[in-house]
Amino acid sequence: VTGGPTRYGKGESTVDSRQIVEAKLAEAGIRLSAEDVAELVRVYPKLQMWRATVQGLLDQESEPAVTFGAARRGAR
Amino acid sequence: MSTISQELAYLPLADVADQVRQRRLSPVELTQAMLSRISRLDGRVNAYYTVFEEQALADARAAEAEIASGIYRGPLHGIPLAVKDIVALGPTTAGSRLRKDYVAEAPAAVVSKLKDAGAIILGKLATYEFALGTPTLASYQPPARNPWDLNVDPGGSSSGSGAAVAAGLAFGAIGTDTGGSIRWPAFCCGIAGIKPTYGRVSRRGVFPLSWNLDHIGPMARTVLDCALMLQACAGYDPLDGGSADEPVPSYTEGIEDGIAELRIGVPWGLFQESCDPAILALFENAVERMRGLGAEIASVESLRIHELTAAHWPIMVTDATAYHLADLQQRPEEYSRTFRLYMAAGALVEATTYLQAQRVREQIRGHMLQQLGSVDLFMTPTVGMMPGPIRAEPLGLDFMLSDNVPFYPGLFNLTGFPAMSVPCGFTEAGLPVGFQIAAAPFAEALVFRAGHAYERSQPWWQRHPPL
Repeated sequence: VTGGPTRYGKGESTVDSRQIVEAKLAEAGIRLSAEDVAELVRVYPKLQMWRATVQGLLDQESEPAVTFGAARRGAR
Repeated sequence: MSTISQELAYLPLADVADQVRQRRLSPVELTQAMLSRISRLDGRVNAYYTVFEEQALADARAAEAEIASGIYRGPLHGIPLAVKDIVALGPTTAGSRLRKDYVAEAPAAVVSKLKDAGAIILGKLATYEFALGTPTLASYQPPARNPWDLNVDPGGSSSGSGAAVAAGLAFGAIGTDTGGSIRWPAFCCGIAGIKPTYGRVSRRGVFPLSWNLDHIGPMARTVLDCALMLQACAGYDPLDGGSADEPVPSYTEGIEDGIAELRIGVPWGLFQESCDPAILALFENAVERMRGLGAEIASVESLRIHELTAAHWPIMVTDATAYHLADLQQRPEEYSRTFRLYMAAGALVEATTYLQAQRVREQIRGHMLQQLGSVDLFMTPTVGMMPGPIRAEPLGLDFMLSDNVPFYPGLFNLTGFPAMSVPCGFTEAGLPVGFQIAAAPFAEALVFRAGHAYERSQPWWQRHPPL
């Protein structure tokens, strides 16, 4: 099974999903069957899409640690 | 009392407690009767993995003797309850093959609290494998069934907790909730269930799913019953790093005060497009009921469901992968394929994505704390989909990774706010539906007050499944 190209971000790069999935699993020390790897390769673009969604939600001007403490104290 | 009457089995915990306190009900007879009912019915419901018959009777005898001697510990004294099987107490399998022989050396903190309050623990309740995924007929442990329709999923992952309470096989149960695992089965089974504020109930001795999002809480027939249970469970535990060192107020004082002049914010944007129309109609009826009870209803802006999923999923699954990594490396075949794939998918999440999701989480929390300057409560449908039949095979990664599954509880796991599911009617097929009500951190008393006001005006809990 070949993973095919995955476009992630906003056109930043095109890479092979299968290579990335296999490399990440190897780095984590996880050994799976070819069938399991193929399933992960198939859904990998979804994870990339979520990265873009989360990035799009961020208010880059904020500092979360400070915001968290101040907001929490203010809530009581 | 060798067989418990149907009427007694379905009484709210508060009513049974009142009878025990007045010594009109014997904890021993109550426990014997409940064990007998479990023996008679649980072969169909599958709510229990383990029943502690001898220990429960011994504890009931001790409770009875104590109450007879004039020592009454409170509303849980002598009351038969049960706990989800990821909570340490005796055999604790987490619904998995991997931990099938695991026996806890010490009870979880929440179990100790219940026992200190005099509760009788009947047994351990069914869950999804390590509290994640979807149960199927192929699961290692048999899936719990929905008492309202035994072919249907009772929701999860506190599936046995929901099923046992709904079927009258316990007067209350402990569940856990990382993305809705108390509130989804409460919705599906027609009972009340609260995920308290993050850190309100100790997680010590409970198998983690996500350290950042895990919560422990009660599930019971009524809102008042949940308040009584949380009263016994809540409190600071220095041995749980996420525990909150906050005073525990009374959860029943003021519960009858009603909701006149409270402001309820409805984040329509979260669910309006994705919610099943039948659920949405019942939710809108509940909103109007709250308005009729004197609350002011306001619209508040919200995330969309795909945004909620994108922030929640990377945190939950990456945390879970971190916990399971050693076993995943050494004996992956002992997990179900679906669970193994979820955990492997967690290893694919980049560190930057995880950290950005944490930043988003804090920004959502900050934004909603600001909203709580203009409203007192949030109200949504608990979820926007009805449970389906128990499947022969798992749904697989596509379902888990879908970003439009109408599942709304995770918003309050991300923020850590207390959130409760309260029954609000039935579909034409006779399955229960519930709404979710949430408030500011540590404002559980306000959640109970609002839920109780609704429940008193619409006592759906008085309907029982056709077992």
